[in-house]
Formats: sequence, C-alpha cells, structure tokens
Amino acid sequence: MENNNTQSLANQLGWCRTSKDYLIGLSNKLHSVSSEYQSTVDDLRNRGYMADLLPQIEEMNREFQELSSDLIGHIEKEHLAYIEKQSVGIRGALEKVMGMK
Amino acid sequence: MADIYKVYSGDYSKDGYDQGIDDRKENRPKNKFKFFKAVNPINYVWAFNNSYDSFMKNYDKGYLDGQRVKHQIYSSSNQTKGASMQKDSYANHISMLENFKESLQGLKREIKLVKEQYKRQIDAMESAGFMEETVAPLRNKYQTFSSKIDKIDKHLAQHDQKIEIQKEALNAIRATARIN
Repeated sequence: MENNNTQSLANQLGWCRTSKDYLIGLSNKLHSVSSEYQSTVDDLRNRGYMADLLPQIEEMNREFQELSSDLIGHIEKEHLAYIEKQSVGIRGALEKVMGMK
Repeated sequence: MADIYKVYSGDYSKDGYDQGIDDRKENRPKNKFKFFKAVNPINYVWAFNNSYDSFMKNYDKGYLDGQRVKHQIYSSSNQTKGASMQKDSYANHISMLENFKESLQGLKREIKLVKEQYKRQIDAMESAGFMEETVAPLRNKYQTFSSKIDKIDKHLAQHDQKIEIQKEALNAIRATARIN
C-alpha cells in the first residue's frame, strides 16, 4: 500500500515536471518569436522598408506582442503557478511517506 | 568692384556657369564663343588662360546642370547606384520577410503541438493518481489556454497572409524596376 502510494506520488511529480517542461518550452518560444518579431520590424524600418507597407507590419507586431504576452502571463500565473503548487504538495507528501520528514 | 576683381583674377567661372545654364534652358546648342562676348578685353592680355579655362569648364558644368534640372537627374552615376541599391534592398526585404514568415510558421506548429500535448497530459492526470479536485481546476484553466492559443493561431494565419501580400507587392515593384 505504501509502495503504491509512493509510486503514485512519484508519477504525479513526474507529471508535474513534464507538464512544466511543455509549458516553459512554449513560453520560451513565445518570448523568442516576440523578440524576433520586434527586431524584424526594427530592421525593416532601419533598412528603408517601404513607407506604405511598414505601418501594417508595425500594427501586426503590436497585435502579436499583446497576444503573446497575454498568453505568457496566462501560462505563468494560471498553469505554472498551479502546477508548482501541486508539485510542492506532492513533494511534501512524498517526503512524509518516505520518512524524510 | 566685382568686375575689377574678375579682370584681375581672370575668374570667369560664374559667367561661364550662368551662360551654360541659360543656353541649356533655352535649348540652344553649346556655344563657347560666348566667352569672347563675356570677357573683358583686358583679359586678352591679362590672365587670359585662367579666364578662358574658368569660363569653359564652368560653361560645361552649367550646361550639364541645366540638363539635369530639366530631366530631374541630379547625378547620372549616383542614379545608377541608387537604383541598384533600391533593388538590393527590395531583395533583402523580401528575404527578411521570408525568414520571418518561416519563424511564424514554426511558432504556429509549436503552439498546436503544445496544445495537444498539454491536453493529453491533463487527460492522463487521473491515471497518474491525481484526485478529481486537482484535475477539475486545471481542465477549466485549459479551456482558457486553448482559446488563447486558437486566437494566436488565427492571427498568425492572418499575419502569414499579410506578409505574403507584402512580398508580392515588393516583387511587383522589383519587376517594374527591372523593366524600367
């Protein structure tokens, strides 16, 4: 029974770790594309991109930055924070079961 | 006073330049004999070479500038460089847009993938031993996550289309520049 319990807690901890990795990976990717978006717009502006076309790209960039930071914020505040809270609880329970506390 | 200095120095550059511009403006052929009308007779014996050279060189310069003004060409050599630089810039801009488009497509693939992976993770929570009261809040959070992902995905598709339209516009300009 104790072994099953330990295994289950270990699985849950593993689950938390994998889920965090997916979400952190996505968050990093969003950060990187956001900064690439910004630097592409800056480069185009500095290299004399057509004045008629630039405002549309700038607007697209603003739109993307907004959406991207909204999603990053949601991932961090809602998902990663929740999963981290679960991880702390599971780790505590695991230490208790294993007699480390 | 100015005339005395001109006679003394033999500097007829202004006369030459003005005469050149006027002749071009009036569509007259080059006529360098005008020097002999412009020059003060003293300069036939005093500083003649300088008088002649300064007039002739500047007459040509004035005539050429008159031509440039008429055709709105300010430097034939710079014009060629400018045009090719512009063509290069268009090519660079198109290549920057292409690279950037690839990045956005990469992100599009990534967000779809993570959305599916995360969904599978949440589906697997119960089998990993999580209690329903832990799973339920995350399912709700996932709904919001999923709709935010869909929103970004939709915008990325629109951005992709807009970038493609801009690329086509630049290609059309390049093609026109080549024809001209």
